[in-house]
Amino acid sequence: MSDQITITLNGQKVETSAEATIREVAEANGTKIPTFCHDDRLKPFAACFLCVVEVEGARTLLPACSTRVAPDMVIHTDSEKVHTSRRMALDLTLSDHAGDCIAPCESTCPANIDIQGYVAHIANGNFESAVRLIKRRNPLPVVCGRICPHPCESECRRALVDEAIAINPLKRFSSEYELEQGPFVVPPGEETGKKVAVIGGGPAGLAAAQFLRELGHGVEIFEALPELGGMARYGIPRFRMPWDLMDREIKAILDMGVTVHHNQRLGTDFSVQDLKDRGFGAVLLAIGAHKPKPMRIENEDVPGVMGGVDFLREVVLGNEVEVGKSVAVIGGGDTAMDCCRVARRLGADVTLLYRRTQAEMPSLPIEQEETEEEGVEFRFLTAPVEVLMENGKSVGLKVITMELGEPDASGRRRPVPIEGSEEDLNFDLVIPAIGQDPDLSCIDNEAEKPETTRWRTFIYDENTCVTSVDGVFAAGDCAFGPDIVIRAVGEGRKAALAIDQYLNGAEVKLEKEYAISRGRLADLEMADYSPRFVHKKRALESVQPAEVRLTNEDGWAPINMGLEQVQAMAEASRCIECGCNARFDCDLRNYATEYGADESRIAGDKRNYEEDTRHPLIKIESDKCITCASCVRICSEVREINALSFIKRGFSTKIGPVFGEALTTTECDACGMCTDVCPTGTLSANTGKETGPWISNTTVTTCTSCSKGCGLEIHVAEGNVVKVRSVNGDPVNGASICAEGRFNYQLMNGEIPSGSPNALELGRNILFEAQKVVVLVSPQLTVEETFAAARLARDNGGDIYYATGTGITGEEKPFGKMRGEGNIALLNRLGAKRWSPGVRADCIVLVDAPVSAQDAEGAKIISISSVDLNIESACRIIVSDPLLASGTFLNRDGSLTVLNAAVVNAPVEVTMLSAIAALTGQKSLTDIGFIRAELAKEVSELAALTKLNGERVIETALKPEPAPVALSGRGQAFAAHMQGKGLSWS
Amino acid sequence: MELEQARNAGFLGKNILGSDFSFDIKIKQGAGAFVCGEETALLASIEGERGMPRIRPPFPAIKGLFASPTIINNVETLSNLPWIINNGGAAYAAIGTEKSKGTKVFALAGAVKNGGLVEVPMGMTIRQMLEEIGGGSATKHPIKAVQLGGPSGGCIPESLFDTPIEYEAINATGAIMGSGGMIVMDEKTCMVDVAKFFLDFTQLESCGKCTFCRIGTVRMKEILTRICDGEGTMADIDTLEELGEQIKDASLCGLGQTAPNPVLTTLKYFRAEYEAHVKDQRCPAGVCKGLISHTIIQDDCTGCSICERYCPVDCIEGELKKPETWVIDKDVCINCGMCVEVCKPDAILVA
Repeated sequence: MSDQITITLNGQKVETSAEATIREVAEANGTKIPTFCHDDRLKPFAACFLCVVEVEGARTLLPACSTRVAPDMVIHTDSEKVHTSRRMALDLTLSDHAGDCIAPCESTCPANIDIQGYVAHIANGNFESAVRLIKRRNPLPVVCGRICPHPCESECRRALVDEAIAINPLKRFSSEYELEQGPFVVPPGEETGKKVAVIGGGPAGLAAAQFLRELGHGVEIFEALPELGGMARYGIPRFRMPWDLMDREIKAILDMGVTVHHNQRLGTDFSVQDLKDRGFGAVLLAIGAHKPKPMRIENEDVPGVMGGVDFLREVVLGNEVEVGKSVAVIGGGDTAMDCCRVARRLGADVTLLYRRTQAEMPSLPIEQEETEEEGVEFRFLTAPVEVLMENGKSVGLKVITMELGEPDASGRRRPVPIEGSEEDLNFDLVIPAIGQDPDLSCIDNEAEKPETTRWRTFIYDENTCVTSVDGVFAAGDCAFGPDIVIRAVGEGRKAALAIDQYLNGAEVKLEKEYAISRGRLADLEMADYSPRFVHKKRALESVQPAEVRLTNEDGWAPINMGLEQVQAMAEASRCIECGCNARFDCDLRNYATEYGADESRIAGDKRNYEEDTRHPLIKIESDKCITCASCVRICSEVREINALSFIKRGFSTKIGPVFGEALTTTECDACGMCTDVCPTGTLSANTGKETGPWISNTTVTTCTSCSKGCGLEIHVAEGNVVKVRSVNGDPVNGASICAEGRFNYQLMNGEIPSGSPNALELGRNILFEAQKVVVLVSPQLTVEETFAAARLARDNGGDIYYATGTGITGEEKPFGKMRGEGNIALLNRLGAKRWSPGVRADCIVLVDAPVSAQDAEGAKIISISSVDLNIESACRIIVSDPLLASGTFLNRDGSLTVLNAAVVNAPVEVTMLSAIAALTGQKSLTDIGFIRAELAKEVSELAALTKLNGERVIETALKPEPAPVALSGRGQAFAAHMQGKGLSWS
Repeated sequence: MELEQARNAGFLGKNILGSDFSFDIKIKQGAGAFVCGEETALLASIEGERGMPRIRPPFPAIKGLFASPTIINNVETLSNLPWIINNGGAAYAAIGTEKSKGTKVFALAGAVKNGGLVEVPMGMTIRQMLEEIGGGSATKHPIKAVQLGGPSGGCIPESLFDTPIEYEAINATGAIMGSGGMIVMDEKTCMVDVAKFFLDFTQLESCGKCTFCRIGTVRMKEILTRICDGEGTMADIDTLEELGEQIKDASLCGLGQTAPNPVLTTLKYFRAEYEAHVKDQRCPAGVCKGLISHTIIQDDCTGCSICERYCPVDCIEGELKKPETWVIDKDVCINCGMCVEVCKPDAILVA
C-alpha cells in the first residue's frame, strides 16, 4: 500500500495516495478535467495541455494527466488562469482543425433537420428510420416534402462534385412511404400536468404542439379557420399539396393527445387573457400572415381586386370566386404562381405582371416553368399604376413599362418606370400577390398587448420566441414575417423548448453547440471535391405534362409524382457525407462549446490533408487531427502493432502509417481501437452511410467471437445497429476489442440468408423421425444456449459434440482475438464430446457449428445459425445475430460475462434459444431464469448464475479447461466477410 | 579514434589502468533536431524513439535512458572538468561572481568587429564583452541590442548592456544564457524582423507534440509576418503578447517554454518598433520589404550605373554620368536592397 498524503484541491483538503496523478485525484473527487490525449488505457503523455491546472509555487501551469501529487500541494483546477489557458488551447486547436462538424444542409435548414442522417437511412433502405429521425425536428415531412423550396439543397456539397442531392424529393419519398405504413406517431412525454394554448394551427403551431407533447405538456390548438394546416392548406393549391396526405400527417400530431378548437378566432371568440384565466401556463401566438400586402395604388380596394392569399383561401374554402374571362396576377413569388395556376383552373386567361425580368423572379424556377406551361402569359417589366374603375368596380389596370436600374439592397436591379409608357389593360379580376402581412387587429383589445414592429409582426426574441408579455410566445410568420413553411416549423420547435423552460421555472435560454464549417458553397473549389467521387446525375421527380395537370380531376389532382423507391435509394447514396462522423461524440466540439472557444480568434493557415479511405474499414481524415497521438499510442503501447506513427514535425506533424503508405500495407489488423480513442473525427470506421452518423442509444454486451469475453458497446440508432465500440474501463482484455468484435455487426446489416419455409416445424418433424440424433455445437455459444442444446440432444436420445480446431498459432498480438482456443469446461460438464469424423448419425443438428459434407454423410442436417453454414441442410433455421442475444458467456479463465440484448428492429425474430426451445417443444427453454436455475443445479460451480445483479463479469468456481476449437459458423462468415474486403482474418 | 587510443592506453574501458574501476564512452550521433537538445527528447532519440520530450518527473536522474538513472551534461560542462581537476574547485570558483562561478563560452557574432568563440569569466558586463572583445560595431551604425541564448533566447537592449553576464541577471532581462549564442545587432536591424527570424526557426523545430508550441508558435509567426508586411493591427500585438505568455506557461519542454522569448523581449524593449510597423506603416530600420521603398538621392548620385547593372528586376534607369536622370520605378522594385549594397556614394534612400 502506498503512502497517503494530504493535498488541497480547490480549497478542500483531500487525502490521496502519493502515487496518484492530479487528474486521478480530481476525478475521484468529482472534478472533471478536460483532456484530448489521455485515455485510461494509455500511459500519460501530456501533449494537448487542455488538462492544465494551477499548482501554487509552480513556475508554469501543469498537465494534470501526468503530474503526480506531492504532499501539501495546493491545486486549482478552475481558476481564471486555468480557464484562459484551456480556452486558448482550444482556440489554437480549432484554428488548425478543418471540416464540417455539421453538414451544411442541416445547418442551412431553418429547422436543422439531420438531413445527412436521414438520407443515410434512405440509402440503407430504412425509410421508417428516416422519418423517425426527421420527426425529431420536423413534424410535417410530407407537407415539406411537397412544397419546401429546400434551402438545404443550395448548400449541398455534392454540388461541388456534380449536382446537389435531391434532398426534398428524398424526404417526400420516405415520409409518404412511411405515411402508407404508419404513420409514425411520436410518443408523448410523461404528463407534466401543465398546459399550453397554441393560437393558430399552421406549421408553427402544429410543430410546437408536437414538441410540447413530446415534453409532456398538454396542448390545445385554437384555429380560426375550419381546418388545420394554415398557409400549407389555405395558401397552397391542393394539386401541389394533396389534402388527404396533409390530413393524415396532421392526425399523427393530434394523435399524441392534442385538443383542437376549430373556427375559434383570437380577438373575436377569445382573448389571450381568457386563455391565461382558463389555466394555460403559456400561450403561443402562431397566427401566421394572412393579410395581402396592398399595392399602394389608386382604387385597389374596389370589387374586382382580390389579394393573392385571400383568393387562394376563398377557393380552398369552396366559396364562389368570380374570375371572369381574364385575370391579372401581380407579383413574382410562389404565391403569384399559385394564383395564376388556380385562376387557370377556374377557366380564366391569366396574365402575370412582374415589374422586373424573369431572372429576378423569387419563385422557384420549376414553378415558373410549370406555370408558363399551363398557358399563363408572363409580362415582365410591367408595373400597375392604377386600378381602372367603372361603376364602382375594377375593369382593369393602368400599367407602366419599367427598365432595370442599379441594384437595390436585395442585390436585385431596381426597376425604374419609363416615362410616358403607360397603357390601359382590361381584366375581369386583378389579383395582387406581392406578399402578405400578419393581421394583428386580433390583439387590439388585449389587456396586455404584445409589442409589435412597424412591419406588423410581434416583437420577439429570435432565439427564444419570447414576446414582451410574460408567458406569451410568438412563432412563425406572425413573428419573423412571411417566410417558408420549414422556417415556421423550426420556430415552432424552438418555441416549444423555450416554453418548456418557462413552465419549469428555468431561465429561458437556448444554447447552440459549437460547430466549424469549411465555408459557404460559393467559396469552395470544385477541384477539391469533384475528382474524388464517381459522377452521377441527380434523380428527377416525375411531373405530369401540362395538359394532364390541367384536366386530371379538373386540374386538382396531384401533379408531381415524386421518386420511385429504387431512384430514392440510389439518389440517397449520392450523398458524400460531408458532415463529420464524430458530430455526436466529438470531444473537441464538446469542450469548445463548454469553454466558449472560437476558431477565428487566433486564425491562421490550416494543414490541408486529403482523407485516406484506402483501408476498407478504417478512414483517416488528417485535416481533423489534433495530434493527441492517442491512436499512435494505443496501436503501439496496447496492441504492440505500430501501424500508425508521427510523420513530419512542428505544425505539419501528421498521424498515419509511415511514409504516407496505406494502412493496409502495415501490420494493422483493423481492431479499430484507434477510432475509439480518437477524440475527433480523424479516425473512424470507413463504412459510410452505414454509420450515419446518428445519435445512438448504447447497450453494453459481450462478444462471443472467442473465449475472451470482451465488452462491446452496441450503438443503436432508429432501431439499427450502427456501430460497435470498446468499453473504456471494462475489466476484460484491457478494455480492447478486435476487428471481429467491432465489425461483425456488419453481417447483420448485410444480406440475411433465408431459412427453410416453416423451418421450426420442419425441424421438429425431422427430429421426430430420426433414429440417432447428434447435436454439434459451437463452443462460442452462451452458457444458456449450450445448456439448451444439451437438452435438445438429451431429449432426442442423442449426444452433444463440439467442433474441434487447430488451436492458437502462437503469433497472437496482445489484446487481439484468441484464435482457436475455447474453454470447454461447461461442455465437458454437460457431457459433450469432441467431434470426430467417425461419428455417424441420421440427423445432425448444427448449432452455429460448421461441419464438412463428408463428415455429415448420410445424415439429415438441421442447421441453426445467424449465418449460412455452407452445408446442404434438410432444414435451415436462421436465428438473430449473437450480438442481439441475452445470457452469459463462459470465458477462458472460467469467469462469466453477461450479454444484454440491444433493442433493434429485429431483421430476424427467432433467437437461438427460441429455435432450440421450439425444436424440443419445451417453452421453458426460452426462459433464461429457468435455464440458469437448472444449470446451477446441474453444474454447481455455476451457482452464481442465479444471483446476478448487474455486474458484467462474474467469477465462478468452474476450472478452465482450454482446448483447441473450430471457428463458429459466424466466425467463418466473418472471415469470409473480411476476405471480401481484401483483408485476412481467421 | 581518440576513444580507441584511450582504450588501448588503458584509460577507458574495463579495469582502467589496472584498477577495478571500469568506464567507457560511446558517441551517438543524432539527426540534428533542435528539440533533441532538450534532455528527455535527447534520451528518446538515443533510445531510437521519435525525438519528443517526456513529462518530468520522473527526472532522468531517477529514470532516464532505457529507464535507468541518467546524468545529462553538456559538452561545455564536461570540458571544464580537466581544468577543475588540474587546478582544483576552489580555483575555478574564484573566477566569476557570487552566484555564477567560472567562465562561459560565447559564440559572438553579428555587427561586431571581432566575432568568434570567446570564453569570458562570469560577471563581465555585456558592454565590456562587446567593446573589449568584440571591438565595437563593425558598421557605421551603433549597436542597439544583442540576442542572447540562441534562437529561444531574448534580445537585450543597449540600455541594459551594463548587465553582468551571470545567470540570474540575464534571466531577469527576459533573455537566457542558453547555448551562449550572442548576436549583435546595429541600428539597421529591425527587431520585429529579428523576432520573426528566430520564431521561424523554433516553430519549424517544434516536435509537434504540445498544442501551444505546435500551433501557437506558427500563429505568432503568422502575426509577425503580417506586421512586417504592414498588415498588422494593434490587436495583433496584444494577441502576440498573450500567445507568448500562454505558450511559455503551457508547454512541456524548454523549446516551447522559451520559443516566445525573442518576441516577448523585443515587445518589452522595442514595442515602439512594432507600433511603428502597425500604426505608421513604417519599418524604422528600413528592413521590412512591405513597408519600405527605395529612392535615388540625385544630389548624392554620381550616375555610375552600377545599381542598374545589379538590379535583378531592371527597375533602375538613367543616363551615364547624369545623376539628375536616375530614377527607380517603384511599381517594379521589389525592395531587395541590392542597389543599397552596391552604391558607393550611399545615394539610395530607404524609407
